[in-house]
Amino acid sequence: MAGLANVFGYGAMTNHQNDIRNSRSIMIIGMNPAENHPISMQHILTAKEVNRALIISVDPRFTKTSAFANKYVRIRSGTDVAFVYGLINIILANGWEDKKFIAERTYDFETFRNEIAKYDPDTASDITGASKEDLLWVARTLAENRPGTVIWAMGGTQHNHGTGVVRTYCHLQMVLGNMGVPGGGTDVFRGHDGIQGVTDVGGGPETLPGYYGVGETAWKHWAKVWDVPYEWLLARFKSKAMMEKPGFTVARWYEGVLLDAKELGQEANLKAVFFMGHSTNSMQQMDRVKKALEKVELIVDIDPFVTNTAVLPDRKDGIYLLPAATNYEAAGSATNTNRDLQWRQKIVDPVYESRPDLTIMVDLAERLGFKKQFIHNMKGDWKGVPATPMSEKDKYVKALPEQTIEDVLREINMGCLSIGYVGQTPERLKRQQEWGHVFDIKTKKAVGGPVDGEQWGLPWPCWTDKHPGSAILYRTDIPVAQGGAGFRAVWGPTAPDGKTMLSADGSAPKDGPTKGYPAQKDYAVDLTGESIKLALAEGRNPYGNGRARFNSWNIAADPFPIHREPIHSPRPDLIVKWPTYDDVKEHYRVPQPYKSMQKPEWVKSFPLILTTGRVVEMEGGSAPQRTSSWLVELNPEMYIEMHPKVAADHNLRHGEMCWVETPEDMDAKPSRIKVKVKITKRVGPDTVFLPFHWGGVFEGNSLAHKFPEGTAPFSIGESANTVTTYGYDRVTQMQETKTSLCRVKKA
Amino acid sequence: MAQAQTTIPYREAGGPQGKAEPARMKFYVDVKRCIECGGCEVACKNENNVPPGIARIRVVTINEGEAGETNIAVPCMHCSKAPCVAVCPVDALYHRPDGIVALNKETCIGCGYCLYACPFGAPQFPKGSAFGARGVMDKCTYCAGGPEVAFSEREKRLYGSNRIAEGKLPMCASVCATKALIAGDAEEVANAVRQRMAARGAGGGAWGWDSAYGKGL
Amino acid sequence: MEPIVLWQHKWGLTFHIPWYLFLGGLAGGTMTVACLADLLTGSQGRLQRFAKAAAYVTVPAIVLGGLALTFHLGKPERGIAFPLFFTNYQSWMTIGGWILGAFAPLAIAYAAAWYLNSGRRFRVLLAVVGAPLGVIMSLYTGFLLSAAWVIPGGRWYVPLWDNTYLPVLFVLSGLSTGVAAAGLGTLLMARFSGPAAHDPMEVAEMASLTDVAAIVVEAAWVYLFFSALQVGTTGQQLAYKLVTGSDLGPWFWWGFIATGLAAPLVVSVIQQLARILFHAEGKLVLGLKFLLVLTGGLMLRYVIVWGGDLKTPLVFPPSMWPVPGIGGPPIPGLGG
Repeated sequence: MAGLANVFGYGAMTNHQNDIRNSRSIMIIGMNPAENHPISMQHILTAKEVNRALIISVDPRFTKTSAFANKYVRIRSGTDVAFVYGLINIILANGWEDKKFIAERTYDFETFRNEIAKYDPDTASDITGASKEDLLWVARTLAENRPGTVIWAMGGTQHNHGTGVVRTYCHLQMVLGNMGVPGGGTDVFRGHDGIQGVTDVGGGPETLPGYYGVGETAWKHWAKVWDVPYEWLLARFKSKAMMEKPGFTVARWYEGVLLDAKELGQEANLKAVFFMGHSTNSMQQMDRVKKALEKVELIVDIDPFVTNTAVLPDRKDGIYLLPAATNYEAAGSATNTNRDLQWRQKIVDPVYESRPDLTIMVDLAERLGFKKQFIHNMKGDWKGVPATPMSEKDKYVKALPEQTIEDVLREINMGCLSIGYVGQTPERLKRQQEWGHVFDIKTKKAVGGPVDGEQWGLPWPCWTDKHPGSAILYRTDIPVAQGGAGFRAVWGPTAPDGKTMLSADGSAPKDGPTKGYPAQKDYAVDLTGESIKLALAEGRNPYGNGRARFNSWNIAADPFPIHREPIHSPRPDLIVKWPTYDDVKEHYRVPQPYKSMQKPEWVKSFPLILTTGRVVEMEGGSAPQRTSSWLVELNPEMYIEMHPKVAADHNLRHGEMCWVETPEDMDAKPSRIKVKVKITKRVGPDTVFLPFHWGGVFEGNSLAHKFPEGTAPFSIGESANTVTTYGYDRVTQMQETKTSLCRVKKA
Repeated sequence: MAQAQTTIPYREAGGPQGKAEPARMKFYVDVKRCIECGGCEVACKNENNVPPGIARIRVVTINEGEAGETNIAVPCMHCSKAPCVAVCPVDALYHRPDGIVALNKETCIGCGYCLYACPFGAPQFPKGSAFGARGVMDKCTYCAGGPEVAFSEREKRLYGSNRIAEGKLPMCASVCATKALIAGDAEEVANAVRQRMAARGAGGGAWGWDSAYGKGL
Repeated sequence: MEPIVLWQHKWGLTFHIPWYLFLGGLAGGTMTVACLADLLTGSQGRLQRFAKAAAYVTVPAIVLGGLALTFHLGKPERGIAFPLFFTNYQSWMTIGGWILGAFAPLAIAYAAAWYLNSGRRFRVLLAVVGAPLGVIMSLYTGFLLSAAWVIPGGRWYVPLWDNTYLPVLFVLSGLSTGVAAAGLGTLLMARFSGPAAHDPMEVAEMASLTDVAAIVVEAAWVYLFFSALQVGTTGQQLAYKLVTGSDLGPWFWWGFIATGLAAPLVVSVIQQLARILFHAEGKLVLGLKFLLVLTGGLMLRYVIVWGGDLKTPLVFPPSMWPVPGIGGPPIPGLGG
């Protein structure tokens, strides 16, 4: 997300899944939609059948998606930058780039061209393992079949330079001029149905809702929205500095427990950890997580199921499991990967003693003494919850009245002005729900009825309660009032080198100023919405009309992405030439070494590349899926995918157990897991693959006895993340789970 | 054996045949679409409460991990000249007027003859127990229940749901993510498939194109 | 594109079907030889004694076989009441139900006629019906498997169960095992029922020689069968490989060919040489030979039943399957 935001302005998928039906070429890189986003395959395959779109699958693993591709290119895990820049090198060498688009709507192409020269086909081929012929074929196909889309997911981001990888995908689309057109765009598919929404409302540690950051302006804006005094908020923090300092990330929070307090970016160690719908078995370096969970004073796990968190640590007390209701037991809005909002109805009342998240949060706020401020904007009937006299059973099952949940969305509508979360009111969403049948499947646009002209889901930015939403970002061939936009002018009117950051004359949404223009003053903090309306009245986009950046000068990583060998690289020769970053003293409050962790000698004793991923039957930590007998029947146990050659070299047969071991990094001892061998040609002879959904077994020992009685899932197994090793993104601290080194031996 | 009124889907009068007649219910599996997500398998089991070990529909993958990897969902194909119907000694398997090959669990003796006769592996038995008391056969009902009173508790227990009587299509086809598995009256299924084939055209994934006309076209 | 081969592990290791096929075929064989021997000789010759032994062996064989058949059913009680339930006369299972229903009482009556020394006329009456019914019984065990269904065009759902060869093979195997069982029965009866009026070796020798003939014919038929499989349809070629070269190979070669066909012939030669050269009696050797034949017959049934797990490969792509009017010519019999 940070990668996208630093190129275009918004950190979200630019087009939408249905729009893939308009594509003429589809490059799927670092992603396996056939397993992880099965519904999207409907659109991808329709494009293939109806448009004759050519599908290119680039992956270290021949996935179920690759089976549908016209071309499959196997690359070494963690070499995406070299692959994509290799393509751009070929495109530029042949003059296939979109010169008009580059001149009018992008910044600093000239320097970029020089950077690209490093990635000639020989170099790119050497780094990635893809042949020069394949590179040429892919480059030519993408150039000759426009518009094309590039689709990726965690395969692109979970690297030490993941933000850089994402930016290279964006650069490819900029060079090809595929941005802001139907069938083009950079389509990153988010991993869960509501995760774009979680990001939008401030799920990350570095920002308040709406990507305002954590600076003073941001706090003041939100103090206004929440209608609480700024001073009251300030008083709840130790100091103003701590208030404006990004917190720990989900990837490395445990170092806040384990490291010496002196090494941390805060005074003391973490004392409590509070999980809400997150499972520990999707966190890297699980041996460290386990230690942290044993050391921390308080663990709270809020989940409909008993997750790995509850059984992982060896401790007898201090773990509190709060049963949460599922999405079927509470109403509310969810934002999907297309930036679409959809209203969900409650199907049943929460079962047993489970309670919706919001109810839990309100109660928590009450116990912590700020319920009044917390529910301030919720005008719904609060009396029913849960203080009023009720039967003992009702007290637990009663959900909040729907009215209050609508008020939560209204508060988001009021505050998240920066990303245009304004027009997605509960009323409009419910009306769309009722009129779902009038939306076109290809454009997502309604034809007729009270929703005439609206985009399905009112994808943000949706500037007013009359705006139809922007299904495709940065689209200049339609007026702003219909969802048109230029790139976001978020870095000011001029770059540090004095060049303009506003788009050239003629490249602007229809029916407005033709020249680039800066963002409307105060549009993101004017709660009255007048600034936004003023801009719209003149046909201008509130966030301005700027340029997409080849050169992200203000980013913590490289201004131009550079190929960085994984921390655990199998190529010592390339570590010398393409090393990882210098060590960082403090990143999200923890020290983050890079070069000192990258050891060329590892490959000698750990010769195989270890990569992880998802399978279709499971999802994330997979506590619910492993509790479903049907799904467990289809995929009963944890396994490792191994090429026949690797298996033969280690004298392993299909179905036998083997140990997978990875190098020691933060700890003195190497980690290992015991898993079943699946022999398949999906992976190449240099790579093994582990799905990361299992939990409940740790280094060969079952933890089944630690589950509360009757809550153990049908299937438990080793977690892949027990053996994933150190390595984190330079910008977002995303874990490098897609590339590591390991060895296998017979168990 | 309880005799019950069976609800049969009818073709509309004025169709190509010109008169109302029983529909001919069919499955079609588009191997260029099936991504082996297993949605059909799980939906079927959940809808019909199928015991573990039995798969009324299952997805078969060939050439896994290699070029030419292909997936195909295999339910009961509800054949017109069904070998299982021919061999069943007790007529527990029979054709409904709409072509669905239905099963009567009240008369099935569990001989397993159908199991060997069927090329698709549709008839299945619960896992064996002591003295071979396996019980009776179980197979895809096209979500049309069995020869019992529609929506009765007994029908639900013996055969699963009866979506056909509700005017719905089988669960597996209803949930298919990529519309690879389609179900319905043969005419409509054939039309849908014909449209797809026309859209794919030459080189668009038509089966056998490579072998008939060579690659690269 | 490769055809899909659907694998289904059906009955797994349950013994019912192979034992039923073995015992049913054997009972048919013993009944046939008993009746023929009875009919061919008018006096109390050694053939008569042989017929008596064979008649006695038939009873336990058919009773045990019938029990195995009944209890392989998921619902045995419905199987016992077959006249009520079996309504599909197209099915070999229904036909077989009636064959078995007729054969078992007849076999028991015939043995009882010997035991009770009823009049010869009555016994001959039973034997006249019994001889053909025995052949039909053996034949039907073959048809039960092989007549599952044939797709027009010569494709078999279970390619191993070729209905040209299998029924006859089962008749021949039924005869060879039946004769062996009768011979073994004679030896055992002599061993356990005290000194007999006649030397059991007389009968055993005759059984042994008849068996040699039966085995030779059976071996020839097996050769024809597998030669046909080898050059048959894709499925039959797969079946040939499965039985002769793959998982089932050891069972086929060692269990059936070596134990059931080759070894008995070798033993026969040794026994004859020993008798001629050393005037050795060789009861034990003959007993061993009969046991080998019986073991081989049982192994044959196991191999054939296990081999049925292999289905005929499906036509690929499945667009060739049932929807009419698209994806190529519909295949008759597969639906349309």
